[in-house]
Amino acid sequence: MSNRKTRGLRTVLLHLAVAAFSLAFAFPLIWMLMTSFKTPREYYSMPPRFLPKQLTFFHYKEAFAPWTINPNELSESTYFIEESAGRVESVVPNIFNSLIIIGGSVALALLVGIWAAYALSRFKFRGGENLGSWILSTRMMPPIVIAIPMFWVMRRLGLTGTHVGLILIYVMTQLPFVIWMMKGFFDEVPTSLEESVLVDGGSRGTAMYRVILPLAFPGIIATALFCIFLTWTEFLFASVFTNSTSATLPVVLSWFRQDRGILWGQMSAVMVVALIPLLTITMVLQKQMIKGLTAGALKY
Amino acid sequence: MASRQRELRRAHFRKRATPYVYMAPTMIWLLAFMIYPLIFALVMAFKRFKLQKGLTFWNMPWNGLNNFIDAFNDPYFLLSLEKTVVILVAAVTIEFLLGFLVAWLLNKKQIRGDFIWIALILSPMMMPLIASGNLWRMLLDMRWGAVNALVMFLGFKPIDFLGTIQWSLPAVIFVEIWQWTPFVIITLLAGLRSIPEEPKEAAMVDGASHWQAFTHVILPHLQGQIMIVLLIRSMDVVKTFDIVYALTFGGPGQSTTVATFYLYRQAFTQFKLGYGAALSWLIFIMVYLISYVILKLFRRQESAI
Repeated sequence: MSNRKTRGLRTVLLHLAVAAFSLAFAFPLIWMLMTSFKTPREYYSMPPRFLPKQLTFFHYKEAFAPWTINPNELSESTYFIEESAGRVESVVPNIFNSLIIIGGSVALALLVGIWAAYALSRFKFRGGENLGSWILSTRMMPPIVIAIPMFWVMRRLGLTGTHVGLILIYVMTQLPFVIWMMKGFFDEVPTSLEESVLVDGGSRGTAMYRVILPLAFPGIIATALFCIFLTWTEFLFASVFTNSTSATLPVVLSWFRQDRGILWGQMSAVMVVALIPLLTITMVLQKQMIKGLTAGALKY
Repeated sequence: MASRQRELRRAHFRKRATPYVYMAPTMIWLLAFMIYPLIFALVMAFKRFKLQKGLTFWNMPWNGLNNFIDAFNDPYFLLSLEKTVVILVAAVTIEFLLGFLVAWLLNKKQIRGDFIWIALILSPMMMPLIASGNLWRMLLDMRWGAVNALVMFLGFKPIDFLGTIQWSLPAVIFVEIWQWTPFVIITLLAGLRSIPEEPKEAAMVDGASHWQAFTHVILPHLQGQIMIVLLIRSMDVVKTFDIVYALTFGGPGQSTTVATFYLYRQAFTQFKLGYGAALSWLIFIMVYLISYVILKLFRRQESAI
């Protein structure tokens, strides 16, 4: 009887501990969400309130559509912003930059990488295994080693500040992930299907487009999403190879950092919106996510 | 007859060449955007690189080993290396222990609704690094930050976490831990869940204590995951850049200028590209050595068990 009681107590304590850890990890994000709905008067108050008194969408307007702001509202809400010098303009063009660069690079990386993944999955050839693990090991390399020489090269080619320059670099960073994730998916497609195409006189290309790609399509989507996840948050290359007009979203996030502080509300609003695709992708992928993140260490 | 043979040979060759043809685009891409820049950086490291009109790669003066000699005589670089090592040791140790503890708790049979807890715990991993730097700059703010509200609630004076040298480095380590412990948790949890029950029960039946069952059954099973966690986290901590950039920008003073941040400043604000390239190669070698040591350590243990 008492044994059962202590066990019940232990279960409750266990849940309390787990809940405490979980909330400690999630709390900053919840705080950020709350801050984005507060007025400056509210987030500059001590002690702070957890919930905003009323939902203010001012900071979302400020970040995404500053032209819709009513001047009266402005004088009321920017009371404190005057103090922290400067504000960042609408981030909508930067979101478009991010989308163009990510779209271009993911499409190219898939186009290039799928063939290598197919070769590694289906053929035994001399050097194949070494090539595969070498490609995977390239993610060990600190990106800044590439950034310095590429900065010089891009300047000579006149590609700094363009979308193209960053797309070319991102394809390189995504390729190892594309190849290893797609190889995994190709390994699951039975070889008998494509062999029947080959026996019927079809070429490898036909087998690829008619049989393998349709079957591995969910894998392609998963791979693309994972690449989007990686590139959406990439900062180092983006900060080196873009200028003020071609800046991507992470670069804009770094602009909110002012000498005397940060623009709390506006930045929170942008970050909340920037998190939406990442949240969606994490929910869709879940299992592949961990596989992708740990790829590279698994194969040694 | 001869032509038939030639055709056969050609077909054979085509068959053997196919995988190489498929690999070609990837290899060309990696050669152009990875191998070539790496070699280029190595050559740069031996030159006195300046951004100046009329100077091209070819007529840039050679500098011998001077960039590397300068690096080891540069007190700021050595200091930044020290900061990197401090963060590496502190962050990876705490992340591992904390991650193990939480994964252990989550793996208990009594836990209900684990997907909710896991979703909450994983949320920091989704944050872009630059955004979590910003977010914590907000939370750790001296006057208005939520953390200082807690500090004051507990009856202490507010602490200027990001503005004093004794607190800034712990703050960076703290944010690293917050951001990446979830990765440790989820990897170790996957490992714990894949351990079959029987060996553990068998050990317990044979009279092993909980601790013995832990060290002899569970730890060996987790070896793969532990290696992955240590390897990936160590490599990533050495490369850490975004969080420092957003949280402290290397300050106050040099207190949080880690190696990557120092060389970023050397290369892209002072435009000492040759020197930056030399430093970046040194860091590359450091990352390589660290991963080599970790891999060797685990290989040896594997054979011992």
